[in-house]
Amino acid sequence: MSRQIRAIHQVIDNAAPGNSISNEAWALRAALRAWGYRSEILSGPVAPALSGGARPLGRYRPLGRYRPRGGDLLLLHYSAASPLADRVREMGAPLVLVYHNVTPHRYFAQLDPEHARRLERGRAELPSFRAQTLLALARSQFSRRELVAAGYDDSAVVPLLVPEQLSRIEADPALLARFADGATNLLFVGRLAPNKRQEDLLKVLYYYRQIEPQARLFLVGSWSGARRYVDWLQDLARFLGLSQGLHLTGHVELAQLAAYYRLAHAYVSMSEHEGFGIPLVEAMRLGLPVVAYAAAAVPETMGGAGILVREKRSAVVAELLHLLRTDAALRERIVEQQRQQARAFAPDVVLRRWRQLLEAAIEKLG
Amino acid sequence: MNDELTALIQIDDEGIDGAEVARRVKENLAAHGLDEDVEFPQFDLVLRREEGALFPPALYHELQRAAEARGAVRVAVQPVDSLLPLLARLKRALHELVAFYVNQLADQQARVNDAFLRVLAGVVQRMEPPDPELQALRQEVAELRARLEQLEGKER
Repeated sequence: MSRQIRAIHQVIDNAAPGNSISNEAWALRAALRAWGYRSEILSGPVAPALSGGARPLGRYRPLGRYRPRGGDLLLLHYSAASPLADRVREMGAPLVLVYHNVTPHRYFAQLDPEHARRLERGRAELPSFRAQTLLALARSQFSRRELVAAGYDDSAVVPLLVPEQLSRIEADPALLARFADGATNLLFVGRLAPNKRQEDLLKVLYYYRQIEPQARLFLVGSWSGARRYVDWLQDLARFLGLSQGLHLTGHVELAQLAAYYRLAHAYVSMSEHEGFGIPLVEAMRLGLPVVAYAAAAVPETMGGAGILVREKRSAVVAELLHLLRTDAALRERIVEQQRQQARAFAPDVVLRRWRQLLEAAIEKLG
Repeated sequence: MNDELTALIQIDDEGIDGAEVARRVKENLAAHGLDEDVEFPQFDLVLRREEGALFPPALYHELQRAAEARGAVRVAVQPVDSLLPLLARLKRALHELVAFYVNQLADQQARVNDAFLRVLAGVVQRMEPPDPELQALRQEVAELRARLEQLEGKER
């Protein structure tokens, strides 16, 4: 451990349950403390659900009350412009910039213009932390290229920390009993958002149900800020005659999430913008064959495993999913390759990389 | 079409014959009779035409504004101040209750706005002359597909 840096505090914008950045920050805080640093999570607004749950409000420290000290290093998780990021810039404290990628604002222009403006500003302001940044970290090479374009020559890749508790936790028995009836279950996990293109998954379901009329699609993920998109998806499902097959779950607890992974026969993604792809890693770990649209960091996360499609042809995707459902040998082969790829994201591997990068950066500080 | 599908489907595992997977997909597409030409509704409304537009730019500008505002009808609970903490909590609970019912109405209103705007944008789009560039690209794709099928036929 360096003599100069005694504390590494993480700054996250919105602490929310199920949010991948919050989950990572929590796991990373434990690791930083184990490595001998003082470490707190400094947050902006905290979702009310966290105040009474596993992560009580009191355990997050509002950034407004924080005063930087000599031996402090801040670690800013960045995915959009925010008053919190502005405050970190004003402080000028030494920084590790953790770039989670900024979703292109065009996806939100009609759904949430305010959020679209934050995203647009977030991308424009990415270079503005350069002077104080010791090390810039991206979650994929895809995102690192954006960091380099923003002038962060000294940047590196460290994948998102994906905890392994899903494979250990007991899956919700009520859900298992409700949906384990032999019908094909397709799964996508992620916040309901236009960049994730859940509407394209409905198109896949439309074709899949022509092959197997009882098939279902689970869209697991929070609706927060996307009410109108959800309403529209439900209308689209009615229009296409898919209401029986579409299950929009909203935010779920871990035991329920584990159940959806257990129930699913395949994981399917038509997302057009992912800075990494946590559910892809979870699906690979849990032995679920993946068919995904090859966009953004998806091919990199899959690392040559699974099946990718270079063009969105929903009927072709439906046939690929059907092939995986009916051809056991093909499915086994795909799943085996995926399990090997998932090992690259094992928490101990990722944490080792974190430590190595942090210590090298601190060393440079002198 | 086989080659087209082989190029579309990416399987990097050398132990799997990608061409064979593409062949089976093609066979099953035909067997299941899946019609790939279905036109699905899109979430984002198509509102802008840069050149050759039938209507004046102001109309597209207003449509754009309406599209951005159509869902912005929900209300948020503002922070409640009071010297007495119990009173502040009570006031906040009341505000939240009111916001809950108002937002139920707001969501219905947003759906109505959305439906009207979709109809309006759809009518405008139907009245527009087809985009010449898009038209040319569609034509090119159709010709390439026909040529590919012809070549595949010769191979067989």
